[in-house]
Amino acid sequence: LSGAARLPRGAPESLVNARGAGAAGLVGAAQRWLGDAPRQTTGVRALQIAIGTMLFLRVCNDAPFASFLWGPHGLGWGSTRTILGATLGGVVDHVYESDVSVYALLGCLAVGAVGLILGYRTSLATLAALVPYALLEQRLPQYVDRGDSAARLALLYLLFVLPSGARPAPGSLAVWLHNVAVVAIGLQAATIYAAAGLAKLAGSRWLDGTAIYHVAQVAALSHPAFVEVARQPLVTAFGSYATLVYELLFPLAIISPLRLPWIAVGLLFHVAIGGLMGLVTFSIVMIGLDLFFVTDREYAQLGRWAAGRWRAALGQRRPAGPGPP
Amino acid sequence: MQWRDPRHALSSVAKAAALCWLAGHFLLITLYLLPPWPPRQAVRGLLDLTVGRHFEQNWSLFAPDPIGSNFALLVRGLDAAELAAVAREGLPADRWYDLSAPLWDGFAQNRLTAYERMSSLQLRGVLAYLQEEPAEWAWAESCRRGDPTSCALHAAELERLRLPATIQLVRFASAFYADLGLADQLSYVALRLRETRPPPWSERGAAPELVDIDLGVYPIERGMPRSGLYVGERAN
Repeated sequence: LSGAARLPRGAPESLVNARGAGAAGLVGAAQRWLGDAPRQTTGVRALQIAIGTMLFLRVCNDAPFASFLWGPHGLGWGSTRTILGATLGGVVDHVYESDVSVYALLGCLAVGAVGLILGYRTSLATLAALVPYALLEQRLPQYVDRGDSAARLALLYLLFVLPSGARPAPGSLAVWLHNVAVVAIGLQAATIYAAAGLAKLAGSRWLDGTAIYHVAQVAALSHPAFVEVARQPLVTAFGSYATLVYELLFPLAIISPLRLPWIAVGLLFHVAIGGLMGLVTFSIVMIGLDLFFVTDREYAQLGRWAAGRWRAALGQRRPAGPGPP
Repeated sequence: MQWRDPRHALSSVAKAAALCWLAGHFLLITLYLLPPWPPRQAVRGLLDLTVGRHFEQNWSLFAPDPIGSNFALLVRGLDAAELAAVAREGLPADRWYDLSAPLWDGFAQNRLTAYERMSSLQLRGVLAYLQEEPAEWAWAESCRRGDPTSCALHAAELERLRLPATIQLVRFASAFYADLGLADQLSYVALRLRETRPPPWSERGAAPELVDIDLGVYPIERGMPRSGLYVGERAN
């Protein structure tokens, strides 16, 4: 993780590339990185927008089936006692006793999702999304997929980031906590990729390069075109090995000069997963986590480049007016 | 300016605590995600209490190997007369409904729906039903060698382990018959798993293999709300 929106003079631009005199220099650079200014503020917004979008889609998709899934006579029979204990869990479990309160949870989740998308009171929006999300997960844990797990963990860390647009004093506790949460999100994302890659190493189909063919056979997921394409040896071998290499090397690539290309490949990878396998909500969360790694300085450069291109395009389109008399 | 010092000290303590939490948290997560080995097993209780309870995660995405097979849940409602016939003649051959295929078709037509998650929910129930704990292997082996006590113990333990998955699958079936408006006319549901095994990579042009596994007959669950997933289906 590197960069900041407004780096104070003398602050390290990158924690990873900090050059100092041994351990003391590194500790000093780490302290300045954590304390001087909030990092990854635009990346945090990208992640909030991605999670908000994903949650809003979930609410729209699940609302027609809410009573069947989480209602008092529905599929779920889970309880919050496992995480909150018998006393508090027993009280909180009353929320599952009527369809009205289940729909209220979905409503609260939708409000939190919209707040995250719009950047409006993001701390409150994060809490408004996290609480009903966790309650619904406890009621029917079997309905949760990996995208939900990633979003829930990210929301927990996002509770500690600065609200959108906040201007805290450099060196304050708020800045420190924001940056610790930023590191936590980065480590969690790296953990997701590394764990996914390492788990695949235990499977013979990933190692012999035919895993993508088998993934494509799952009728519940794959697009008909994907089934045909995955029968091509080159496609399935490249897809299997590229996935394995990408996931295993992610934690190293993200702290190396390969970071931006790795993020770009990750975006394409998750767009493909969303399109070909239909794992749309999972892909949206993972795209948010990938975009989180772009630094504020790089977002600013991208913004200036896009604005320049836009102005140039407008200039070319503008018809030539009559010449001077 | 005296008040600033305690405040500064508190802030420093909070900053140090945040760093300690970060280091400890990711150490625990790393241990939690590692395969069982002695250091992990030594702190298993702590891992379950911390990461397992509040930061639960499992990133085995299509790992160690993708499942590949398609598991469809088939159901057949039974009234009292049909249930009596099952004991004599076995399960009927007709009027089985595939509860998974409509979800797969719906999801293929529109990716922005809950159908994929619903079919995954069915799949998890089926896989949980079929999964046998390693602790049960010894009873199963002993049963295969002809020990009736081991067979009885194995059967009782399997029933206990399968109970949550069974409840979920029966509820799915009951909600389906509620969608059809037939739930009140039926007293039991038979569950069947249809596994479509794709050919191995070396024979990828060949036809898939179909395997049916009966999961048992259970009382229908009354009072289930309509799922709304199968409202267009017709009783045949």
